[in-house]
Amino acid sequence: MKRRLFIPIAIALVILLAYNLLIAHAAKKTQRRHLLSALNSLPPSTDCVFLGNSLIEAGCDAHAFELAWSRGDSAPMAVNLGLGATTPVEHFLILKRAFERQAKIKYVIYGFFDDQLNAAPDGVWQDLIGNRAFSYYFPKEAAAFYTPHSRLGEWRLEMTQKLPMLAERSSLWDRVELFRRQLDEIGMPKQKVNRFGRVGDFNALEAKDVPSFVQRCDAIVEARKGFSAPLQAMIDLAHEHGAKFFLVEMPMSPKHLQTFYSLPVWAEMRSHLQSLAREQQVSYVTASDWVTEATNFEDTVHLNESGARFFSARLGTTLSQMSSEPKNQLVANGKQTVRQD
Amino acid sequence: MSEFQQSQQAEQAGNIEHPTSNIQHPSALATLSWIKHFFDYLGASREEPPPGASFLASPIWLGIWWGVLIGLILLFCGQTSKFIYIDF
Repeated sequence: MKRRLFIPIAIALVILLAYNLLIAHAAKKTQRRHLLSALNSLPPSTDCVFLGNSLIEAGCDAHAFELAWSRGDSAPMAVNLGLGATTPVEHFLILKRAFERQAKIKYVIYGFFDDQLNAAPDGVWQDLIGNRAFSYYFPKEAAAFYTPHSRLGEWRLEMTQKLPMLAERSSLWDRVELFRRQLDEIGMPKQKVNRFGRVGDFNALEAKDVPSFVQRCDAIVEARKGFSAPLQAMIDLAHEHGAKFFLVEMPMSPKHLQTFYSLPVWAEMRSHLQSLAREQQVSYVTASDWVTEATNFEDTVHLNESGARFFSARLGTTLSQMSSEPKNQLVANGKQTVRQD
Repeated sequence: MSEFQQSQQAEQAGNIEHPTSNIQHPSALATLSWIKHFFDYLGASREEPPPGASFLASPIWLGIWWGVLIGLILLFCGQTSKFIYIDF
């Protein structure tokens, strides 16, 4: 009887072990692992990092940025640490590792869109997939944002981290998903894809409609909501290391600008964000309307290569001027306004 | 009388032919029956494996079967997630 019970359990466990090894192997090729390797071998001469989600990953061309830096031979060496489909919690973890590896970073450039700076961190089980599994690599620090002061929450992340089939569970899902999409397209027109995924899917990243966008922004402005905890932690970390922190309103497609950013509520929201930035001694760059041609975007939110080059060059020129100023500044439409607080 | 009751009565009276009665080859029927028995056993509807498949009752097969099932569930359970970013 014992034999009939234990042999199947042992075999099932061996199969699960093999599945874990397969997942661990598949996870080595993911973007988040590549970024972790890049962080571990960050060049000592790095003094500027771009940080954020896929908007930064796609939109920042470090080379164009360096070339455009207009202060002679003191152009900073820039590294793009943007990682698609991530939130400020993962960005904090990335920045912390970057400072641990390279303490001489002078500029942290953080790109954002919409209400990303104020949104509360959300780390429930179903959210921590894909690149957000980066949170499992540093469970204690991530749990401090997702479940503050909860030993149970921290323990949950730590335990999950130990099992690849849980922590890296999405590493094979993408292959299943690609297979499913191939089946979907049999006899149907092919859907347009770019380096991040299906172009049409990125419409989901924008607000569902104008009323929901207005409601979200209104709620933040009326409550005078501050920056989210992970963003605050990033700002504090940068200041601790003597680095300048730049908040960059990332370029948005003409459609997004027209639909959402032309609304009076976005002007109020921007003004609120700028006042928060001033309080935190952070520079705020309004770059959302720098790229005006729809042909410079590869979908509703991401810049394409030529768009990224154009934006990064302008950002390099602008920040090189701003970085020479001791006080925090605001930039609107490329016209610099220096505020002495 | 409901439609279901009427169809039950008709079937008991022999007025309805069973769909499988159109199958002319007894071997095909036996194969279908064996396959049904096989899946019934895998699905735990029967306690005895079909003839010639006694390996299904072995502990080794059970371990492989449940291990593979768990693996497949883990592999395919991401379908409902908001999975739009794929590293192409």
